[in-house]
Amino acid sequence: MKKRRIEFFSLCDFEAVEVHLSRMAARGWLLESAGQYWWTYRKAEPQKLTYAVTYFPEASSFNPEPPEEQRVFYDYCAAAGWHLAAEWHQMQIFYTAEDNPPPLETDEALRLETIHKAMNKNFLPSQLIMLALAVWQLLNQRNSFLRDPAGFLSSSSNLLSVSLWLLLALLTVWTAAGYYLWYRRSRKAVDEGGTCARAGFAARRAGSLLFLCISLMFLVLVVLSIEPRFRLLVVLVGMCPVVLGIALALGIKNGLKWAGIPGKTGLKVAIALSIVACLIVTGLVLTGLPHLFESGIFERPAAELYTQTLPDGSTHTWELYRDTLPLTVEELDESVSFVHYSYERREQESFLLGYLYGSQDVRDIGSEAPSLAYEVLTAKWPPLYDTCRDAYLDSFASQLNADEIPGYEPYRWASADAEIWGAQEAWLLFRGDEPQGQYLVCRGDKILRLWYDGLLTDAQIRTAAEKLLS
Amino acid sequence: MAREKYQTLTEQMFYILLSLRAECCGVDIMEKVLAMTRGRVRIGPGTLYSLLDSFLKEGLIRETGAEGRRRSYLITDEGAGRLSAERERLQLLICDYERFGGEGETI
Repeated sequence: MKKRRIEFFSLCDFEAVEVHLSRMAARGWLLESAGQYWWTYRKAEPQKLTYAVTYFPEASSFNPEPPEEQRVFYDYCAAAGWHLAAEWHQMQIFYTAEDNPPPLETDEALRLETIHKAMNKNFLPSQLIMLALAVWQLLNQRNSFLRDPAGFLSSSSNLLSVSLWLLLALLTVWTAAGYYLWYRRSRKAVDEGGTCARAGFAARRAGSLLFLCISLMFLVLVVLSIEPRFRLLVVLVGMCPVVLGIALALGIKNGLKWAGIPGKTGLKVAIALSIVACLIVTGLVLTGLPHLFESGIFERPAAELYTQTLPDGSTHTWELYRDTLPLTVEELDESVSFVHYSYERREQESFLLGYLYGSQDVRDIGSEAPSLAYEVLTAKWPPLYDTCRDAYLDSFASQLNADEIPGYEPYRWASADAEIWGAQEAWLLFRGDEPQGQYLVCRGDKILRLWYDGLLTDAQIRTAAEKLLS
Repeated sequence: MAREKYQTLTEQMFYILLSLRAECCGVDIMEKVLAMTRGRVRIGPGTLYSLLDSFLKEGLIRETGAEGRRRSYLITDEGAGRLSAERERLQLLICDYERFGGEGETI
């Protein structure tokens, strides 16, 4: 009979591993294999075993089998009465049933040097690569955020993805920093004739557990804020790059091992393939998802198809949506009675931001019926309010200055009468001195951006404010 | 460089080099040192492997033969010189102790 357990040992936490395994043996569970978190035990008679951990820097989880030198090392240990239980990267775990067994390591300075060599070989570079990958992903996310803060913050899948990459980055920093602190303490102790530092890892494990619990709670919070019918899809999309990336990396490593590729070559190939695989997965998600949405696979079916016949006999077919909108052209102007409008509504929400988009659009070519569109942001976290408002105000910041091209007139926001809107602030978009029918209004926790064909009258403004900003 | 790295030898290093004044299989060194020191000095297999590997790279010992994974080693002239230098250093320590640590001269 076997069982698997999650163990939160650090690769250099040898003393805790030794004590833990001896206790497990006394309870009738012998270690069979060890990994980053999952350790496998097999049932046996309870027995008094002494476990000892040593490090073999040349060991690699990419080796299909232990190389010759490692087997010589095992022979030395066997001659001293130690039997190999399992290995985890460079960590070699031995056990013996002898009373008062000879220690595996009898020189603390050499032991520390061996541990440090082992950490530099695999553990620390892998932490660095994971950190680099996480930072690269976070920078990508940052660019997406800067381009469209409202769209980014109101998307739970984006928030989930950012959370996962941020947690990965923090975890790698925490783990690597923990090792360096231990190494410095051990170096000092050994130089003074003592032994490698042992204190601190229990606290570190407790810290890691606490960190993971807080992270899990945060992720649950993000997931629960997603509308239930989209929850599973958003979780899959948000976690897809992370989970697929890790699964691919592990699959590549095991595949190379199974194919018998030697350790050093396998490591280089695995790193290269893993980076390529992660880039492909991220690229697929970033570029494929918009296409997926544009394909209409997630969209509700259009209410009707309408075919317009032009004077020259050509025809155009339009899809007309019939979503319910909080504000329509007819409510702004009762004289409008165009029948071929498309009423489209999109909403998304996270625990930080709510986003509503409404559009009443004229698809007919040549029609003079007015169009209306608006975005309403609801900032659930007040510090985001200014960020989103400023993003709207800066939306024309990259346009050319008027001096650069003769006759070119840049867009600019100018303060408008906020009182009519019942708002704190309001702006109207101008092009040169020409007012455009675009408004930006801040009222309470809501930010409204509205486009209309023509300037709104005071009455229309009051109607829009009542329908969209209440 | 052997001189810089092994300026002084630890007890483990000293006895490994001493035991290799005669050709000896690596795996037998632990028992040999235990016997030489009457059980006083124990060399762990992890420590033994690391030091043999290090001594080989530094040229203090050489591999003389191998039967499968059983490899034999012998100290080199460089290693013998290092061992001799350590002996002299320890002798100096003993002399200084006898002069100043007992009832002899005082500073």
